[in-house]
Amino acid sequence: MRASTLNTLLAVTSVLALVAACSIGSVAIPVERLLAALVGTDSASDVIVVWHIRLPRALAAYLVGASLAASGAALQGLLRNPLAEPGVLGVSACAALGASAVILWGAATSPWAIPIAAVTGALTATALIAAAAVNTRSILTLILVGVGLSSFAGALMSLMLNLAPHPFSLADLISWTLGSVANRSLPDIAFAAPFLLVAAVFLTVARSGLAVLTLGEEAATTAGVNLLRLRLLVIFGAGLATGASVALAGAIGFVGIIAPHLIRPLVHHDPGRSLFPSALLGGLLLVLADIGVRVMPGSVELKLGVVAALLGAPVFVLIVLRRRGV
Amino acid sequence: MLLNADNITLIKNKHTLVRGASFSLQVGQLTALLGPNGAGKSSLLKVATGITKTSIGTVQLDGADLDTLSTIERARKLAYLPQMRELAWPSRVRDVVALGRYAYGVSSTRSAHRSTARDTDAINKALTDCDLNSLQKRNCDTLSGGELARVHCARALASEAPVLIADEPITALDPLHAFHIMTLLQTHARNGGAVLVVLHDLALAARFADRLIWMQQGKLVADGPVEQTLTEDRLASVFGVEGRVLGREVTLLGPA
Repeated sequence: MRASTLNTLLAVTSVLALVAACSIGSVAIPVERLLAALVGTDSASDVIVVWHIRLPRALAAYLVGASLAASGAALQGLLRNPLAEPGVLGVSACAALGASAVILWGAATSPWAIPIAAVTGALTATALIAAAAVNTRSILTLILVGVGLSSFAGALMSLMLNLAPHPFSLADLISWTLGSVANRSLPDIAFAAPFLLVAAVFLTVARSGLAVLTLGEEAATTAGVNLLRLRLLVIFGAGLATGASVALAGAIGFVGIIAPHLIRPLVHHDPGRSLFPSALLGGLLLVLADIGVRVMPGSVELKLGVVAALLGAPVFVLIVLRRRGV
Repeated sequence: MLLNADNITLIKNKHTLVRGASFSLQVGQLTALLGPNGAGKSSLLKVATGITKTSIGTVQLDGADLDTLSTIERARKLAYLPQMRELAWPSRVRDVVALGRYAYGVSSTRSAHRSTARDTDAINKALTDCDLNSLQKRNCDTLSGGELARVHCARALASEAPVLIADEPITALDPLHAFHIMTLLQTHARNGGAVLVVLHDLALAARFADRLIWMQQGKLVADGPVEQTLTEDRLASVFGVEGRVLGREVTLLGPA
């Protein structure tokens, strides 16, 4: 399949999924009423449901899925391994740690506080992993560094919960760390948007270098790739994207591994070409999963992050088992 | 003189891997770098290609100091075939060969019409020269070792860089494929390039190389035409093996 055909197909499906996400719910809004509500000419209740509840939620799910999938695809290209992913490498956990600290100690006086804290946590993790990558040839070592980072961030998180000042913020925090896009508003998205935009630029620029990195670092350097620049682009791109998406939805795992895994055979395993369609598919998958979470019967709504992990973890194990060697 | 290395010394973790090595690569010549395991051959190549910075000394590529060239400028003049050539992904043969044109702005993420006719010609010529036309749509994980070696060779040739440096390009290849790769490298030199290649097959080195550089314990111990530097004494002193040399024919008999 040509890359442009694949991208068009995914983009069209994504739009359809977003429309469905705005239309489906406890009160069904048919497409003509949805369009009217989007331009603000229909009944006030429709406008509120669409603009304040469903559209922000669907957009948040899409952006989070797209960011995590693009980060995963870029990290996989940089580390030359399909198991690299923000969640597995501990990037999400470090971002969540940063955001939690801000939430817990009530430092979130500015709406920028959570995104900045999450992005700082994520960038710290990507930088540590990239530094480890310079010193080791073994991808297994890097994954273990990620596991270590993840555990350490988890331990610090437990410590914070242990010392939490109010039980009220505790419940808040736990619910947030489970990962969800419920009750997100358009301003929440706006505060994540600048980080996502910069990340998108960085990762887009990194694509051609990632393709050459297929040859290995030495061959890629001599073929003209500036390795340092490429590493920085991916570290900052993946760090910003993961941080912003964690700020938006908490920790949601495995999208970053599954979307690129499905896309790769369709783009002849070119890590550069896989980036954009992976992002589209990641967004699409999370929007569909979130629709599933919303329409599922039951008094308690499942958290998106919980569902993503329940579906994603077995797929991750399958990918590991089907690989020859590490 | 396309590449000139002067007094290269490489010190890593207090170990001197290369000491005071000076050599140059001439247009039209295939030069083989010979020496036992651990002699510092790969380290020397990494300095010559600019992957590793030399501790002392200089490397000049086409008249310019290697350190002053950007990675793109360097890639247009020098192509390198590293020893480890495992691909990270099962990419398509043609895509891998096209990566050799990266320094000219060719990229899989841009639309095809952005690559010029010269790029397409270079890729097609490299595919034809390396006998890969029938394989160009195959994924690399379905190729044999010999086929994959040709893919890497084609990638390097597609860059049209005059200097070609290869680290053991024929290791683990059967004799026919080894001949094939050596002929490709020789043709590259004959067409106005300069080739430096690390070889462990002394018979093939004697047969294809114009010049031999002998390396032992980090030092260059001999450098000159095959007829002059390939001697029975040198086989004994550098490799510790007893051999018979008859012109360009070499027969190894056993440990010296």
